[in-house]
Formats: sequence, structure tokens, C-alpha cells
Amino acid sequence: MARMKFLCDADRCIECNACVTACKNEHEVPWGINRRRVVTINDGKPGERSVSMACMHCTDAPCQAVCPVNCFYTTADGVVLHSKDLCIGCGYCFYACPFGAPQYPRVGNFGSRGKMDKCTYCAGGPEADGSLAEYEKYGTNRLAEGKLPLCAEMCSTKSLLAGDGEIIAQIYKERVVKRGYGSGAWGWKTAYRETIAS
Amino acid sequence: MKRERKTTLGRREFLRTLGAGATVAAAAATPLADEARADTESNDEKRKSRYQANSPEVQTFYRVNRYPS
Repeated sequence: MARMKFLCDADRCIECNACVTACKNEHEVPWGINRRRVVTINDGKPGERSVSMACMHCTDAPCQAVCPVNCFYTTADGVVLHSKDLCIGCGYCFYACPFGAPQYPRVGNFGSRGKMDKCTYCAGGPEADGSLAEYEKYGTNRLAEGKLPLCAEMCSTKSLLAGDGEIIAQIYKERVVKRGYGSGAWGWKTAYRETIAS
Repeated sequence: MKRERKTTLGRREFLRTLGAGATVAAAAATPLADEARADTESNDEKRKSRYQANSPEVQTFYRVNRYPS
């Protein structure tokens, strides 16, 4: 059984935020929520590195472990989804997640934040596939349409990979073998000279 | 004094009957609401695999991401 994963090739990410925009547009994500974000380290300095981050769909998901109403579930594809009908907006998942994936539409105390929202790996939620209810609560179900997450399909530099973990790991491995990695990557010495290592 | 008390009790009785009648009428007129239900998919249905490894879109994605090899 295939296990869905995201993999960001940080050597290719140019922080264009197309993945963020594509996600927001595809799922009509409410104001204040970004299911995907681009994190940049050493911004503006030599060796700057950007990584596109969203829910990592953990095998033993901490959000799932702490949820008091058990609204999370893992699909056969390894995608961690949740039910907005069951969510009480307590915020436990928000504190448990190391990636900041679960987010709320409003800032406030318990009960006033609204239902939690997070990346669905473009796999919808516990409503009928392609239904209006599913779209309104969780966004498009691209996986059921035979597609992969739009953020990865939209990536112009092919930095963000999505799909079967084994296949995308193989693709990444082929890239690293061919061009190197980090300071050993093709073009690094041209851009930063040999004085800067990373 | 005794007559006044009788009158008060009568009014209360009347209101009680009126209230009970209204409740019965409302219950008979509107059917009971459906049982509250979360999600439309069953446990097995929502967990089933949706990934289609052989779809043209997925295969194209893998092929394109292997470029230039």
C-alpha cells in the first residue's frame, strides 16, 4: 500500500510561495489560515535556504494522540484527516503539532476559535467524495480524482514533491546523486564561492 | 377570603391546562428532529484508499519530476 508523503527539495525552493497561493485558491482557505507556508532560514544571507511546510501527515501523529474528541483519523494512504463536525476547537492539536499545521479561523479562547483547519493532502474529509459539503468544509478532493496535491503539481522548480513516499524518495535520491547536496550542489561555488560552507 | 382563594386557583389551573395543551399541539404538529449526525461517510468509507497510482496525472507528475534524467 502506497504511503503519501511530501518532500521538499530545499536546494530547489526559491521561496516563490506559489504552493501557498495554489493551496489557498484551490480550497478557498479562510482568512488567517495558511495550510502551507514557506519557511526561510538565513534570509538575505549567503546560504539562505527555504522549505515549504505543511502538515507532514505523521505516522504516529501527535495531533491525533492529544485530541479529546478523537476527531482525527488516518486513511489507508497514510493521510491524516479530521472531522470538523466533531472538532470542538480546544486547541490541543495546535500545541501538540511540531510543524504548526493545525490552525484556527479566529484568535480567542476555548470555544471561540472555530473549527480547526489543516492540510488535507488534497484528500477532502469524512463527507462524500466531491460533494459540496466536503468542499465547503475541507476543500477539493483531488486524490479521489486521480490527482496529487496542487501545491506540488504547481511547483515551478519541482522542489516540492508529493506522492508515494518510496517513489518520491527515489526521485530525490536520483537528484542528489546527480547534482550533489547543500554546499556540494551544482552551482553553489559559483554563487557563494568556496568560502561559505553549509 | 375563601372565595378569593378559589378564584386564584382556578386561574392557575386554567393557565396550566392551556400550557399543556399548547405543548401537546406543538409536539403533534412538528415531527421530532432527526438524530444529530456527524459526517456522512462511515468509518471504513472515510479511511479507504483514494490514491490512484496509475492515473495519467500521477504518472505525468512522477515522470516530469525525474527530469532531466
